Amino acid sequence: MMRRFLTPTVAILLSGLVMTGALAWLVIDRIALLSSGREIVLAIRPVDPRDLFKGDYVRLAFDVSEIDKALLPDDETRRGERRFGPGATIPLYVVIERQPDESWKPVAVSETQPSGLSANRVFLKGKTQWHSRRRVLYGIERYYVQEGTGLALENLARTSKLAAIVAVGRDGSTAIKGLVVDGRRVYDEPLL
Amino acid sequence: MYRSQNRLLDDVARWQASGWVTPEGASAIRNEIAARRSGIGLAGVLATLAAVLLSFGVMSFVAANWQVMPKLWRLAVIALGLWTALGGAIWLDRRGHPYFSNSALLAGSGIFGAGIMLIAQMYHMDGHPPDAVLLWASGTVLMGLLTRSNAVLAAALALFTLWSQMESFGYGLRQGPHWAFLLAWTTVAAGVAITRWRPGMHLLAITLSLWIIQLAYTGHLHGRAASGHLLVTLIGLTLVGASVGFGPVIDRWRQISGPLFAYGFFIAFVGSLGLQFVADHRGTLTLPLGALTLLAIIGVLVWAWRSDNRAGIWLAYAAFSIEIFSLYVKKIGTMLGTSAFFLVTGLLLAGLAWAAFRLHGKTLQIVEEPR
Repeated sequence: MMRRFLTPTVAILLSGLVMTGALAWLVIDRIALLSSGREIVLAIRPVDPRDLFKGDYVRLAFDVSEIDKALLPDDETRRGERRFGPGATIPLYVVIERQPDESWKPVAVSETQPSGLSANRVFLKGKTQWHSRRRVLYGIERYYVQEGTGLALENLARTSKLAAIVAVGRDGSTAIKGLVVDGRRVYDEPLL
Repeated sequence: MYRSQNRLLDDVARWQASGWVTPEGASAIRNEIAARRSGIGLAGVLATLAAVLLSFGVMSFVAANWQVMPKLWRLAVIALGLWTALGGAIWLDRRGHPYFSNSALLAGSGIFGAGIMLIAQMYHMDGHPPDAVLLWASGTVLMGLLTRSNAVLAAALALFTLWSQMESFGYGLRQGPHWAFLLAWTTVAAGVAITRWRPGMHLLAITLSLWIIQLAYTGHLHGRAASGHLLVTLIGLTLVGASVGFGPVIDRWRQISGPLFAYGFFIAFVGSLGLQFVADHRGTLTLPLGALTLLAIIGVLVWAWRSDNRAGIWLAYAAFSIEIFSLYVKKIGTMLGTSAFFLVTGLLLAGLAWAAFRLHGKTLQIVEEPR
């Protein structure tokens, strides 16, 4: 048997500290994004009324999830295809612009992080799959609710205008801060 | 190597009756067996299962997303659970219960995973789910390496395998092999090498075999390309060849040439199944490939029997059955052709059996009924 560098007690304490640290880091990262990220309100569209409530979360689709095909240049498409292959997940950045009616619309797509955007523009980090490359996922497509309460939100989505308040970080990462129903802020998310 | 201690006890009684073992010797052997049995014991196994149940209990609590409890409290419950499990592990270890201590560590790893899920849920994170499993596995393997706990290392390997499966098939098909899994696998292997845990080596071999077999199915072709299956078959044959050619050299390092042969054969056979029944659609190569595979299986059977490799013998029997059943279902040209193929190979095999009987009459009976 090899000599032990650590006593069992020290080894267990050390692994506990690392695990606690990892969990704390996850929380701190989210709190930083939610409290310091730029706040935007994105319109939600029902994915499929029957499919909206799945288990204990509600599926969200946003107007900015659909990318106009014209925004994907043909050259880039072909270049991407060779690099990633069909079915591969492709990371990308979507630049969205605030419209006069306060809604947001995608205006550009790029594979590198955009810079020097005007004040009415912001970029979101997302990913898309090759066969569905007009649909972009931002990692905010699930809204978790308490077990058995998804149906109420689902009905709300069908009868009212639903939007999500989203915090956007400097690197384009996103987090849901709360939901807006008919212009009224509901489901506000506390940081802790 | 005895798999069943009851069978060993029967043998001891028989040897004593035959006068090969003195009554004192027999009772000494029985005492030794009884002492070995209490080593892990039923209690340790039950404690491990309890740890798994507790982890799932915590994960279900998380999934219920109980919003009566504020976020901070939910986080506190997870932290408290984690440190209770780890504190329990320390306490049990100091009281001289290493198996219970291991179970408590396993529960700690489960609660760590539940904590990751809880945080993802609290902040509605839906980024890249395999990343969450990777974080869970990384924390667990670190715990396994630091504490040298076999149960925790096994859990880490299971989590890394789940992560690799999710990356390869669940979230966008990968173009190529998932190389990162090999790095994770090596980390767990380092831990198992330190603890010298034999079942852990089998877990490592099984997961690596599955990874190798999947080489044929990754990418957008989903296993339709023959090249992937050929690669898998060749890797398996290389392992078999290494075991056959350098068995004594390998065994001088570690006693693994037998398992190496069995796992290599398993990989090669699954690869050849892919080559015959997944890639080759038109059936033009069914006859030569089928004949070659059956011949190889018989070769493996002979070698496994001669080297007393039980796993090899059983795998060869299973492979033989699967192969002929698959050929029967797929057919060689027509049903008549299939019939002719089975008749000819059956007669050839019968001739082989007769030749073997003439050469080593006694030994054939053992092949007929391996235990």
